[in-house]
Amino acid sequence: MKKRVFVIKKRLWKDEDLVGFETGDTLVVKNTTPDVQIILSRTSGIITEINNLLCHAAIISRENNIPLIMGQAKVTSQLETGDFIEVDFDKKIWKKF
Amino acid sequence: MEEILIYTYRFDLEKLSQAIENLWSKYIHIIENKGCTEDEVYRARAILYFLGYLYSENIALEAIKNRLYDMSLEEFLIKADNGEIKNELTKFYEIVKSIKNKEYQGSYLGEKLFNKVYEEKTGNKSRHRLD
Repeated sequence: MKKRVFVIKKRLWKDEDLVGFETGDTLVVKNTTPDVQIILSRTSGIITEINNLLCHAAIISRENNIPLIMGQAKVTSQLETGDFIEVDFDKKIWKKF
Repeated sequence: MEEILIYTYRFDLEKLSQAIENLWSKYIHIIENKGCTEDEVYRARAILYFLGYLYSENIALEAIKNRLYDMSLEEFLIKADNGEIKNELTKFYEIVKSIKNKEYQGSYLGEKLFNKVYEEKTGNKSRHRLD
């Protein structure tokens, strides 16, 4: 499916960094923090650089049934907010549109 | 940190929880103290790394894995996060998750304040090259 991405490049980010997030965006981050809570019901999925079953992103995605792809090294450098990607969360693959 | 490992081995969840809170309080005490030394800041850094990553994402994960006999780790985590199972292991998992939800002065694991103190006391701009 085709999705617009919202990218946060900082490792340590806050809710104010989510300004401009649009409903249906896929969030692209190094990792999530508890501040992600405010957009959880509006995101189509999350892509992270970190890859660990107990990282924050993995926990919140299981708890809230949010599609997640982890372990995408340098993805926050490869994409910019507003870019579109073709993503398959089941197969854990994506490519820039 | 030793205590956390000891109570993880013994699977004494009450004492484990208390030991985590004690270590967290020690961390907050250091970063709140304007007169803290560089050595103490590095102690805070060690605590932050231990609680935020080493323990919560590695040691705890192994501790869960080693106690699973009838399902895979992934299966356990999905069931636990969806409230489908409740036992001592899920209680342990909840304690670990509580670490991942800790915030101080509005930032995850108090890292904003920690970074400020770290920069002031050590002269190092950032712990993370890409930040």
